[in-house]
Amino acid sequence: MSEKIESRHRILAINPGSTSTKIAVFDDTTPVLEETIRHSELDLSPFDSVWDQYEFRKRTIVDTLKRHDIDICSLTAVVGRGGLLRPVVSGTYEVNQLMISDGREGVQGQHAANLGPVIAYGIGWDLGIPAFMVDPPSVDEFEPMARLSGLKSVPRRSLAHSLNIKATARMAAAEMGKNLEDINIIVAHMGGGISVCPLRKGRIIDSNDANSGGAFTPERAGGMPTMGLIDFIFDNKLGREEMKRELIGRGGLVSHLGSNSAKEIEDRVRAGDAHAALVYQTMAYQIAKEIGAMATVLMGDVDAIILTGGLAGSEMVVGWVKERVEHIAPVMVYPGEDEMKALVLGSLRVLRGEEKARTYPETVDTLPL
Amino acid sequence: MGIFDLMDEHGHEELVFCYDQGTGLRAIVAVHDTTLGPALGGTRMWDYDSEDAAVRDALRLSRSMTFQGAVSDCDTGGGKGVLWGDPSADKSEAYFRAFGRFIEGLGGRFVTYADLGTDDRDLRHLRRETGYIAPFVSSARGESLGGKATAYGVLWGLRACCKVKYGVSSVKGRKVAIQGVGEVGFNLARYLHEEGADLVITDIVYDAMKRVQDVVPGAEIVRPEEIYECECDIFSPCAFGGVITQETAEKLKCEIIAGAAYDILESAKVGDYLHQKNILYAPDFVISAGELFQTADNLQAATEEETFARTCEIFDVLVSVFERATREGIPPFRAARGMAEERMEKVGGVRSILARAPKPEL
Repeated sequence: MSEKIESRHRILAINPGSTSTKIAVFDDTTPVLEETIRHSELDLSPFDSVWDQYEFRKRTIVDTLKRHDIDICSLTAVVGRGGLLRPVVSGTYEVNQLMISDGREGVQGQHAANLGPVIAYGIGWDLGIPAFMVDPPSVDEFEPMARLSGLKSVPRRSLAHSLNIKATARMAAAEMGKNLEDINIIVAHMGGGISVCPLRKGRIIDSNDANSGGAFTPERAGGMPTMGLIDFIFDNKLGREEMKRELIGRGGLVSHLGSNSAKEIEDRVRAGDAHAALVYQTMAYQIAKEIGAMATVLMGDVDAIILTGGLAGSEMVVGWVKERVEHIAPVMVYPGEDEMKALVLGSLRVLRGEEKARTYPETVDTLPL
Repeated sequence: MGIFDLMDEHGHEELVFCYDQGTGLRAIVAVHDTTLGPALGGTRMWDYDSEDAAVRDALRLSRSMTFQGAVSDCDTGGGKGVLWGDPSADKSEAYFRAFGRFIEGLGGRFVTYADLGTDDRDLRHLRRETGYIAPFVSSARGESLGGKATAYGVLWGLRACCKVKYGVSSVKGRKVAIQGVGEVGFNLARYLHEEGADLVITDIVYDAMKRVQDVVPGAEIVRPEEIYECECDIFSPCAFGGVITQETAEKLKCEIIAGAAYDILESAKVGDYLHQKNILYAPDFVISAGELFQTADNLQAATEEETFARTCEIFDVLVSVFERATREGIPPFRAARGMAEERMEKVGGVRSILARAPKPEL
């Protein structure tokens, strides 16, 4: 006889990417199903826009649940990863019409993640259960000085790996036996993109824009020497989209070493490839430099430095970063990222009454200078 | 109440039960009245809670079809096909072919088309066994006009309601709450948006509402149970029948009720209550006749242009209904029934004249 597992909440988490949709079902904090549904070019070819993929993706999700014998009616909540929405403060949001409308219009750009809230809402509506979005990439808790660049018409934007950063920060605070709202930490999310963020009392008050600033990454160029960049664009007569592809996708380790695979590059380093070692170590050096810069944002009052993301599983990278920053504060390492669990935990905090669901769009309070 | 009592209550001519063990077909065909012509009506497939519910639906809807044909100047009677089954699980080619053979057996007394739970694919199977399928017109792209034509008729009906209620034949600036945005509701929403109306929509299925919002981003969404209480000028039921009960009628804040759903009044008593409350109710069988106009007289196929041109006539018919209601001091639904019954009586009387006798043998 199978043991009956008592669960108060069964939550479906949905994370749409450009060529896949990750889904997970959790009974409270226990995963029941985690699957990445791949979408071929042929699958997506009939659709003129990302938004038009709604029904297709929703149907594949429902079919996947059926295939795994998960009764859709057993769900008690649905959560979707947020997209490029309006700048909002961090937290768990109930999906509402304005959020869906912003996702449709692409207020900060079109991305498959814009489908996260609307798919969650659609499934939630049909089942009569709540639909949430947690910490979208557009979380913006910047302090006023963090917004200015040296050109008035080119402001600094808050676009970071907020979901993983906030979830990891909460984990670290719990491990420290403290409330996130009582401490100051720096979180470096080190994956295909790298975000380094100072969190003051739980708020991400500054960040490099992982697409256009900070350390170079396995495939992104990071912050660039401006004049050199201008010459590069004009000398090579590159268009806007071409240039974006150079900086995001063909930059970083790909540009220097022709690969974005940390494992492959580490093998080369171990085999004595001096150039690979220089480039790889430079990436770590730039991450450490960014952490140092963010420590000054917190005026040196840093309780911990958190390293997370895929590269936090690399002993080489962690070692190189650690030796440069551990004089600032203790370094805690959380390899990988678990966005699906982060989505579920965000929903659970609301469902359990630990947090109140926010109403989109809640914008950042302007903090005193 | 027994079946014959039910038939007697509303004057039905024939009720046919069809069963095929092999395919699991359980079908009912109700023929209400054939005074004006063959009983025309859609065939719907629904997983009814009971046999009784299926029978009552067939009887109720076939009667509305009689009134619809009569008041809309069509030479058709009223019928309805009801398939008691789950559209998502019980359909098969053989299932519909079996039903087609039963329809053929009625010798043309019942002519049908697709309705709730059935579609063009099902009709293809029916056609292989019977010719008594209404030749509905398709658009140039081969799409059925059903939803569009019905919605277009409702739009004209709403214009008539606005003319009577507000003195202007336009829905511009009016707030319309649409209950159910399937094919008809979706097209109605588009027409209303183009005309400058504000929309509140609801449906039990979110995807249907998203489809509307993708073309009318300003359409407001409310939960199905909230639609009755929303502040609006016009409430337009386009989903299920029987939605206006005494309880829902008391909640309504609108001035007009006009939609494509059939038999939305739970009872005549509720219709009288709406009249007392000064809510203008456009009788369902009048305003939803757009679908009927896809078939021209003598059940020949109409063109797309003919269908839409004829559909505009709903405006004039409704205005006549409202004028008669005012003249006689009765609710419009009673006036419309009176008009339908009068036509049936007069045309039925004319048909007692012998038009052609067999030639005498010399």
